[in-house]
Amino acid sequence: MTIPVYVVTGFIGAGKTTFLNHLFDKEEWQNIRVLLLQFEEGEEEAAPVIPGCTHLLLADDLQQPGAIVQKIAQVVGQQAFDEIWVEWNGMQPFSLLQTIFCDEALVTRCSIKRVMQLAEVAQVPGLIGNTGAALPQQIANSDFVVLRGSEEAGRGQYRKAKQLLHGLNPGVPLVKSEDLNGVYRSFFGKKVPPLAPIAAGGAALLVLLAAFWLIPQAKDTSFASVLTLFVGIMLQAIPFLTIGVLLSSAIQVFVPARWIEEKFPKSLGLGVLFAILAGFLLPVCDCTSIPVFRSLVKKGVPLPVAITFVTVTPVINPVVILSTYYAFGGDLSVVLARVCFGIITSILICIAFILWPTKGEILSGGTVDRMMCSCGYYEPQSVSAGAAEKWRLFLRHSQAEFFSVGKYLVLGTLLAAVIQVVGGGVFFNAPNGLGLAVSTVLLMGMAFVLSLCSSSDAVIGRSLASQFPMGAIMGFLVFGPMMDIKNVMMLSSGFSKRFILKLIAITFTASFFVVFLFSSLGAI
Amino acid sequence: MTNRKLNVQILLEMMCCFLFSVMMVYMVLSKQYLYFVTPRMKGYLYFVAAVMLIWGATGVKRLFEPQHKLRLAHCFVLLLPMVLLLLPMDVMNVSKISSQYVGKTGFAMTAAQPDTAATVYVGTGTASQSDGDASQTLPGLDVANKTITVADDDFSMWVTELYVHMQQYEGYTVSMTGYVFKDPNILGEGQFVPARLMMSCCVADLVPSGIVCLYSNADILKQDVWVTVEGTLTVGERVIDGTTTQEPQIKVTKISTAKEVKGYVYPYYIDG
Repeated sequence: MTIPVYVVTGFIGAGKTTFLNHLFDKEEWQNIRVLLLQFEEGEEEAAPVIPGCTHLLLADDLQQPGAIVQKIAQVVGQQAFDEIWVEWNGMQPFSLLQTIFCDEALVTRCSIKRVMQLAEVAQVPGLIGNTGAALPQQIANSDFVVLRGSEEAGRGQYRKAKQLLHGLNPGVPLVKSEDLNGVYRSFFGKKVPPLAPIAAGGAALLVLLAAFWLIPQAKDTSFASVLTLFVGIMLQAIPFLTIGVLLSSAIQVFVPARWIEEKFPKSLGLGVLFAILAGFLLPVCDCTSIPVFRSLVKKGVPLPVAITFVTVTPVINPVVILSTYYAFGGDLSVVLARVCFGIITSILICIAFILWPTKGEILSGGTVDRMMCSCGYYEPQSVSAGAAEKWRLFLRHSQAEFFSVGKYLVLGTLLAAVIQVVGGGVFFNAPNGLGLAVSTVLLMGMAFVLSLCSSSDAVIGRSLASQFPMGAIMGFLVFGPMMDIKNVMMLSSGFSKRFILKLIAITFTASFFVVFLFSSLGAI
Repeated sequence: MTNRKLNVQILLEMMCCFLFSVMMVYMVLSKQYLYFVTPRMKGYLYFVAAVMLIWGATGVKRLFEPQHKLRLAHCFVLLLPMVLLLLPMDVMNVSKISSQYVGKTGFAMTAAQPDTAATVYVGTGTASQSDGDASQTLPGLDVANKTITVADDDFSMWVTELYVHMQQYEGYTVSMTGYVFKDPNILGEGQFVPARLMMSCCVADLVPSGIVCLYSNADILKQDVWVTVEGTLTVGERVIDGTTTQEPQIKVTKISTAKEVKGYVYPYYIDG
């Protein structure tokens, strides 16, 4: 039987010692043999109220983990304990603690059961991202977070703290420090085994599989159509997403931020020109450009320029030009119009973002996101790392990014597949002869919900030509690649809601304006 | 160290990557990927297989990395498509999609798409070749007997060719197989298309494609039934959006039920 280890983490001054004293101040603790390990000298002296508590102060030994292991092993060997409690150092990465307890001398005797993070609501925004890598890592590894001062801080600050904590540890339960019962439950309650959700999901999938093989009628349902469309879009999107995360990770790992600062065009005009040129040259679709967009923003490329890149690339890349040319029977005016409208629209979007700069943080992870990526690695590391280490980092980073953006791709694709099967008719059954404005808005809405790949939407656009005016189809061809359900979901993996909403609104307005204006003038 | 703890998250990620890699190679080798995406994706799928293999391999070294909080849900990104690819493949039975999805939504392109293909052919600069000896080499073409027998695999190519050179093939006897597609918005009375579904990117963008047939009993043909038609090629006219364009049409002389042809056709520029 291994001794359960309970860990309290938190930045210096979070009040860990006070919290522990408070926690232990209960009758029930009298008969429990506790070993308390302190890795930090708190402002307050730990004076455990439990009579039999053994207390080890290990703060001075942090440079020699081997010595710590020996000390703990010695105590544990001499005495019997029911529980080990750890007050971890706020400046030390959690991985160090794990290394200590994974040592041969300890791994069979004790194991980490629960990890808790203690934080003061008002201090969370200031601490995360400004105090190094240790704190984010501790938060990411916590089973739950106990928040102090949530009443005093007010709702706005609480929401901000929650957003930051969930950015580092999605879905981590937050408990108010006043709710001592809640804290006890979080420490000693039953833990859902991490494999449970995946096992349940896997079982559900197997049942589905069996149903389809055993019941022939299942194939004729709309549900089967949804699944088919889903697999189709995924199979088409996964390769492009893979290219996207590889490119994006290459920028993250191999291009130092300094280089972008020095070499990237200083003037916005040149930057935008550069972005448009890149759009022409990269044979990639929206699944590729969104991860690249995120890493450009992270590296400090001016936001309006990065936005020009992400909106223009899917409209004007070579594959799209080719497929539009073919779909519209070699009609160069359509190709030219699509490319020009795409460029003009993205420049308008860029100007809109210059005129109305986005307030606040646009990356959902805040400042942490700028220095640390979802795989837990840090910018300073990648800059100083050797070539081999950089390649390792590149692979690890790209894989982590694939999964994190992929989650949203799956959701977006499912949504698009359902809408295609259930609600597509709304658009196609529209009466003929609607006005230009109405039909343009209608087709832009349709492009948004269908989430077609930008290299295939020209064919669908062409098939609508008998029903809608050419101007409206231009709306479909220009707005669709820039913004659709799939893109919005993928953007949610890294950007704040407010920024995404603003981007959708501006993109919609700009493309409608451009398409409507030029169509009315007879350009198409 | 023998008693180090296995990192379940890394293990699961590795397994997903390896399995997905194998799945992609299997999809391409068995040609089953064609049910979902176009032949153009072949190279891309191999590329994904290679990347997944490398990602999986990098996990080996990290298999015993200590990690307190495990995250596993993201593995569904690969698990979900993998399991769904194991569904019976005729789930996407052609006529079912045509009636359930395309039919309702009115994705009709008999007038639009072949036109596309036509210019594609001109656009690739091969049109001049078919005026000379090259046309002799087209599969199914018998110049001496003025017949064209369109094999199922050459469907897209012939639809393209007939649109490009409708005058050249006027009077030829053409036979081809497709499912009966009728759309009152586009086709007049006595008209139908023996159509196949064409995919430009993935199953989400299937549209019917084919040559319009003139048949006095077209009304009694049931939608989605597979037929082989034989008839004489003529040049007809169609009015779209106020402008009149020419299109090839087949005056049906013989029609018979046919076995369903599995799989899709692809635009000629992808196919070729």
